[in-house]
Amino acid sequence: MSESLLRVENLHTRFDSDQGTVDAVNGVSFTVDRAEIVGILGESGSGKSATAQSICRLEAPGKIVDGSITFAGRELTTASEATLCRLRGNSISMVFQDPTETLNPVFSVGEQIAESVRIHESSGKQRLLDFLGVSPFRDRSAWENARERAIELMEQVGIPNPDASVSSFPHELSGGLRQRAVLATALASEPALLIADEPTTALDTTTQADILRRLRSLRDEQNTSILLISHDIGVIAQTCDRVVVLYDGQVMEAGPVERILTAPKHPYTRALLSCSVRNSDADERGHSAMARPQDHTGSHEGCPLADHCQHVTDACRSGPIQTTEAASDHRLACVEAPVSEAQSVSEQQERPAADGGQQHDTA
Amino acid sequence: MNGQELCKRLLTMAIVLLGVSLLTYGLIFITPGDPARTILTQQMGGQIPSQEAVEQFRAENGLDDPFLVQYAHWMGDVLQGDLGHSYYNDRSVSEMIIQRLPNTIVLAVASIFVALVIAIPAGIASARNPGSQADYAAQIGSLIGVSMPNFWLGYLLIIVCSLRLNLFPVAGAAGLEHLILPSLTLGSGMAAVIARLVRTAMLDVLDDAYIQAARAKGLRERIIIYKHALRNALVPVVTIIGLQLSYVLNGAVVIEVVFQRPGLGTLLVDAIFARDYPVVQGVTLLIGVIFVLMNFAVDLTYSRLDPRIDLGGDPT
Repeated sequence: MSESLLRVENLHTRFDSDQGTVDAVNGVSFTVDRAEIVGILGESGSGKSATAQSICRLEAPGKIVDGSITFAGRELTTASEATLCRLRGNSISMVFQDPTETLNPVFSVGEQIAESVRIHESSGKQRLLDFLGVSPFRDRSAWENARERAIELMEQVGIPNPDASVSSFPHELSGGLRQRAVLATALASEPALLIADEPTTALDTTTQADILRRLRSLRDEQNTSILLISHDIGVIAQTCDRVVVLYDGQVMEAGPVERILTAPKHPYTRALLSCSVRNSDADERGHSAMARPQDHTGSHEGCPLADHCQHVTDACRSGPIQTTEAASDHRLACVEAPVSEAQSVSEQQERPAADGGQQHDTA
Repeated sequence: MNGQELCKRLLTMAIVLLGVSLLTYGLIFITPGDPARTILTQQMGGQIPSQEAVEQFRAENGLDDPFLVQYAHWMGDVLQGDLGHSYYNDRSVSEMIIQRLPNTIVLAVASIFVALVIAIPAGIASARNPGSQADYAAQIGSLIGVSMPNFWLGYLLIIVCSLRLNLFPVAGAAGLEHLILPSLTLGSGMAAVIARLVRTAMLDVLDDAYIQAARAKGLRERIIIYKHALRNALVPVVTIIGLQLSYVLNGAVVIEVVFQRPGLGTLLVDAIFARDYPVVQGVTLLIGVIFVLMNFAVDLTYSRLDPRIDLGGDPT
């Protein structure tokens, strides 16, 4: 495991607000190996994005209060701002959810991609007047080369006619093209790790499929490691090698995608699966009682799902849930799950006879 | 902006200027005081002029005609590029304006420069750490700047910097040293308003996702602030700078008097006291023209700053 590119251990990220403290990330651990695509699956509020931001150290206004993040052998939680800047420009890139908001509306996409190229080249030495484009201080030839490179990158991410679109402004492009431009910006630094936070959520399905295909080929051709964050099981299933299931800032279950998504052991993963579109007949949706908004203000004694889980026992509430290994590469945070799989299957078959399941959470 | 849109703009501007001139002409017409008497009294060294002399003066200068006739007469001349002559000496108004205008323009530009140099860094410092000591200091400073009447600030600066410390000359318009105190006086008031606006606009922009995205690219914070954030925050700031230009011109009237700078302001004030109507008219019209043109320039700047702003007219 020591060769993992990214290693997150017992990460705690906390947000202080007027309403109280929210532990958005509450003891998350996982690794991403080189040339591996790891998915983080969870609903909104599960701490997926906070985890991603913490890795880039862009968690502000939140704070990392405990744990460690090691990237290529370097500890990020204590790294200086200058080191982080260099890492972001050279090794870790991020793609955000909404391409309409992540591109600066007043600069052309070509300029924004070229800027990433220049950041990567400058390796930490960025002069304000050069980047502002004040004419005698602007390194003309460097920017022209960067623009050439931007056109190449735009071609690489599938923007048709990049010579023309390079001077387009974000509002002149469609959502799909914008996200491709964002991807090009992220790839400009030839990152070792690409963090994609819901990269396809705002896009239509054909564009989504194409972007996901590009992410996979990026891994296949350039050995880029990818951390793909999504609430969509389909996206994770299509793209990832391993998946980490988050709920309420904690890892519920983690392991290879084919194992987790075909034979989930954790009741929450099962509930998520049963909610997915493919299984959405009315009886099965009873499980969505568990897929409810998380209550962050409660204490974290015991399992965060204790109040919603049909398998709940006293052990679930009595203290921190230990993470167990169902297999060497399959982790699980549930007291009951390892024993209750067979039980649960039989229960599922009985359930249509029961009272619709919705009352489980109030019972 | 296409040709049709441009024509529409120019037409609107002409109508606005017509309104401005009609209004000032009308206001002067109803102000108490008879220019014929005032001027003749002065020319005769304080003696009351005879009725015949007054009537002759009125007839010579067309002051007997009805308001609209006087106005139309004046407007006709203006359209031919003739702003008339001063009642006191035979100098043409345009000549007087051309002589004074450079001083006022220099003062206005210097004031705006001072305002921006103070306001943009102060506003940015505030916005980066809202609630910090620097923020409070900037906010209090800006409150003081907004509330302090600029003629009073001007006198304070004269007393402290010129009379006590002997750093700058009290009055005049000869060189750069004469420009510093007046432009500081005018600029600081403007800076107060602009700094608050920069703060608000920056706070707004700094929350936007593309700022976080710029950080994720590995861009240094200073470049993020001065390139990505400031450019987006500038649209409302440019608007207010355009509006502040009227403040500069109004302020110049007072400040030029305080610092005894021969400019449009002093010209206007002297002319008003002397009831030298052609001069008052000419200067007011010029200020109106400058104002309208500046607003037009501001509109043009918008679409340069933010490509999403299309000045309309062309839907494609």
